Amino acid sequence: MSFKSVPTICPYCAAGCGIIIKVIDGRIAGVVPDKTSPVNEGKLCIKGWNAAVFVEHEDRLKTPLVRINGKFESTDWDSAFDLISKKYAELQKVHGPTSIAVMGSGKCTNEENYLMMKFARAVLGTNNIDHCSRLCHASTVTGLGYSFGNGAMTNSIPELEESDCIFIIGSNTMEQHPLIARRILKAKENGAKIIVVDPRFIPMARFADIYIQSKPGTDVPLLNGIMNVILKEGLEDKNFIDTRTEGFADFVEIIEQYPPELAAKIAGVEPGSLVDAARMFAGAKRGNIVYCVGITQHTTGVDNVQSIANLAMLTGNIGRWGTGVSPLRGQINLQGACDVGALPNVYSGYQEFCEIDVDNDEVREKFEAAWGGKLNTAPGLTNIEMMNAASDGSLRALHILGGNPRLTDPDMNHVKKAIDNLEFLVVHDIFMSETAELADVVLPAASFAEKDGTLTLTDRRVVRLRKAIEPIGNTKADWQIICELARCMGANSFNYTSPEQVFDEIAELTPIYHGINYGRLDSPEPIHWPCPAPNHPGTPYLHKNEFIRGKGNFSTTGYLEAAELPDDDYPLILTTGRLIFQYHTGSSTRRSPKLEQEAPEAEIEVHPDDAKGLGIKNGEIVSVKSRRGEIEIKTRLTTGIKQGVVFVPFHYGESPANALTNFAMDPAAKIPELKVCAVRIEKMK
Amino acid sequence: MVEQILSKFLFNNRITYLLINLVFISDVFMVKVNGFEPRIMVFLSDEFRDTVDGSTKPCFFRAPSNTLVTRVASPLRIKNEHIVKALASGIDGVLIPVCSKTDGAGRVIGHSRSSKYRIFKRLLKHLGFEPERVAVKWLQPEEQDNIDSLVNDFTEELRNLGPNNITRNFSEPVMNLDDIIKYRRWKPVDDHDIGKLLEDVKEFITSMFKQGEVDGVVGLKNECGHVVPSLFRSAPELKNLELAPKYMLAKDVRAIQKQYPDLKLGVLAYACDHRAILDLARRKQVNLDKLRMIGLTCLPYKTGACVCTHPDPPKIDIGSPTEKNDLSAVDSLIARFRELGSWSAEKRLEFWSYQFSKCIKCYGCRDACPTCTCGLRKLENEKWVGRGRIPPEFPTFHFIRLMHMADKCVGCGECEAACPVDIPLMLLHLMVAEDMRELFDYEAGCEAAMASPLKQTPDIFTTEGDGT
Repeated sequence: MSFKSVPTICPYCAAGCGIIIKVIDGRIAGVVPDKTSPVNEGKLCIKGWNAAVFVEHEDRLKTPLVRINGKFESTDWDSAFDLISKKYAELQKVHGPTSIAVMGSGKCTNEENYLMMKFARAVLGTNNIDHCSRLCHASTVTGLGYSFGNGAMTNSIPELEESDCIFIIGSNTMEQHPLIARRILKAKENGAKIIVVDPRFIPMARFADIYIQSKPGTDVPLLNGIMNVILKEGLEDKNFIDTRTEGFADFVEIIEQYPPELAAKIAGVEPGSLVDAARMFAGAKRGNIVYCVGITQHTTGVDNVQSIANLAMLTGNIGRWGTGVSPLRGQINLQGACDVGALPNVYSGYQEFCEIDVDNDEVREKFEAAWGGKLNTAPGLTNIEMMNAASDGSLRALHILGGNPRLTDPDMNHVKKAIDNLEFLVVHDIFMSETAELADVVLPAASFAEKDGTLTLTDRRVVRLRKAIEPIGNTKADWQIICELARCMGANSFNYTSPEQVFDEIAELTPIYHGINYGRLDSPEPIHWPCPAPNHPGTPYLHKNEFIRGKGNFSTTGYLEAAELPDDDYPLILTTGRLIFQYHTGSSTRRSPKLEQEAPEAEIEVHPDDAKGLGIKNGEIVSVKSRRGEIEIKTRLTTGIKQGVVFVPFHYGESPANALTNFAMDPAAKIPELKVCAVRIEKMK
Repeated sequence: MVEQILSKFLFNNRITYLLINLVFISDVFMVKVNGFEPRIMVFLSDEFRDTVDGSTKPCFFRAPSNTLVTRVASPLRIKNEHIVKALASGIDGVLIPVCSKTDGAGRVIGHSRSSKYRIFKRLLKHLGFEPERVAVKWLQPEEQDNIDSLVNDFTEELRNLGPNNITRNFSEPVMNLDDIIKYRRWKPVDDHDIGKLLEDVKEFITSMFKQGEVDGVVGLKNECGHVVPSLFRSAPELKNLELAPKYMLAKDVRAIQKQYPDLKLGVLAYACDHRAILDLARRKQVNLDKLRMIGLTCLPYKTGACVCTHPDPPKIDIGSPTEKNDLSAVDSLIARFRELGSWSAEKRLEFWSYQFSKCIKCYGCRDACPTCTCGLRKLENEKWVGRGRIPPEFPTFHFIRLMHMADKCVGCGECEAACPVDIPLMLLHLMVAEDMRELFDYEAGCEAAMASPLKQTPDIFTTEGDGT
């Protein structure tokens, strides 16, 4: 007889709320919120309360599966590892190491992503490693990196509560990051002003002092229009601009081309609202800009992010408590997966080994010495480039750590063809996903409740994930799977016996994590990186006296249209997103009855005036078509959405939004344009 | 039998259909005469009957244009949720004519208002609905033609009362609650008194283990720097014992007893744990015979944090009784709560409309509650609360929970502590607790054997009583 409670972290959004899993005799008995967690302070959203429901679900994969004659057959771990290692060795020899690519995961721990990238670089010999942050915040990493020198959220979550103006753009905060929204509501109740910009009247819009319903894909002109007003009325923070930034003169030149009237016309809003927003935000002592993938998932994603950085610098809202730019990450460990180097062009801690012209030998040599062996210097492929390479046959094998690109990547028909074209696909997952169905080998992984590790949350806070129960069935934690596979392939630097040893190696090689260790993480006290030394308290907000790159860099961002605009054939703009009750492709939430019953089917949101023109009624099943595919979906009429725009959540495999979306990418960040594409709605015959 | 099933079917469909469509219809039948014309819903019982050609059928009633009639087989079928839903949809008033007569055997067929109805009306008032918006009128069968004039009178009353303000959109907080909400934040307190208390507790439990009084004790444990509920099986394990922050242990006791009914279990119980466990025992969810509650007085700073009026358990094993002046902070907070009671209905509605519009439907208030073990599935029933949208319909969702908790709430404050948008739920719970004391002299969790006064069925009407 035993009853214990294990403090760990909710596996859903990147707010990273503390949860306590209650365990009776080795089985999960329930979840309660952690009252000592600095983020959620004893509170949770519905997903948090149901966080552990899927763990013991009967659909869990329990043994390794190998495809034989088109059918999956159960096997043991040794034969699975044997098969994979032989195949990888053969491909390495015949087609070179770059014929294999690896995808990390925002759902796995820092240790696992680090091992995955070490496996790719040290064992396979390729830099073809990327992960799903390419699909959500690649523009942030690139854009904020250019403006500030670092692509992470500049401040900590609790600080939001002490801001006096919060500008929310492209983030449905109340539904996607409810415990961050709580801070915004508390700020409001303490007198702060809220500005919301979104094509949908999202729940947060009800609490906004100014709500601007903009057209998707017009963020740059809209922000430029606001900054035009700030400059014209002399509301900018001149001292901050003079002492902390550069590139201001060129920036002013561009901004002058966007008077509010023009900006408002492009964005489909009232010019007056831009003037009001400009005055309100510029008038704040501590302003914070909160954004999410509504900003980043565009062909102009980097420009959008840089415009936000411009606005923050123009008003001097950076480098002080309560100010900043807050990109909210989607998955629990997206920040961590980036930090530990699951990216094609950097090692852990964003240490570049191949800057544009020169190879950074010093960094590479450090890693070569630590890992024992020569490393490839050519930058690898990004997520979307991997799919393209798979289509044209230059990529032959793909190793996916807990991901479902078949539903999450844009233009799913293209993705399916690309995956079908691969010679060999290995997927780690806890459930049979749409992608795993196409795999040659499926490796059953342990879930978040069955393993130890660390996660890095959206505000750069490093936290401990703790094992509550033993792995279910014949599953293994991903870090074990990777180590055993690497050893099977003859690697001798994968002899870890615990995630702690892996973390120590990360801390050793990564300056921003250098002062963090498992001992320090056994406390609710938050540690935000950079934390360069064991006695360093961590850094809640960045860019205090100086930007990481030295001076903040004003960018010159002008309006570029979205890759696909509505026309006569496809007259509506489709934008995609999530619901509070579901999460991503739903492999966990749709197996949690309390979540699934709230939102069991996909609905397309349509403005009643658009529906009237098409003769569609509320609740009618319609066919939605784009140039790339078509889906059938139920309609929901709502005046909350901008006319001419429709919205589809991407959780549902039966009405997959990404059958419609566009593969077009931002040229710098390689992020696909998931937030704008042209569609038409047809009545069913 | 067939008739019963049929009438049930008809009733359920009729009423649900009407209620669901109310929001859409309400604009259509609103007729404006001299500014404000109240919209009324009449729940008309089939007890009122017309006799035509020797056979009887439900009476004919031609409703005026401002009135929506919902036919019900019997008033017993009307649930408080029906009325709340009508008010939620913007109806200005609900009228329930009830037939009161004596049958041949001298039996009163008329139905009485239940005790639930009395709490129901109070709750309406607390949320900002004038209680006069819901009226029950008794009629003798021969008076049934008077329903017309009843409706006219009620319309006139409502005209004086003004419109149901729920249709208005309130998006600003009426008052800053920071001084009330802030207290809920737990901060570690470095207090040597707590250290002393902790040693006393450890000593006490160690001796219980030694004497074999218990096989295990449920308490709070420091696990990797976090405080969590845990089961201590032996004295050496006690080195990680903690006393705060509070986690309610009643449901853990229930879960352990369910699996191991014969275990000699102890639980380290503050006064609120004690009340919660007694309330669970009242409903046979916990077996007190196999449970030793180790009574602990509350830590002074925590008493203020919880706004607890009785921080001492009935039997104190460790610690000294709380002195009256320790409760001064609590008293001043309760005075702040009372402020709300003196507000106008409109201001109260505005306040709660704003507060509940923050709700993100996490069900945390339900799930965190130490005494609600049924899962309150009613909240997930589409008949009452639409699924998949936030915020949930005001006030239906919260009303259902508050009604459910009226006789179970032990005032521990866990619902509010768990609320991700800081809705001050304890304000309502404290007011309802006061009502329960005043109306029925009942206090949840005070004595295990006490039966709840709200245990009457079916809902707001009962067949017992004197027909009033």
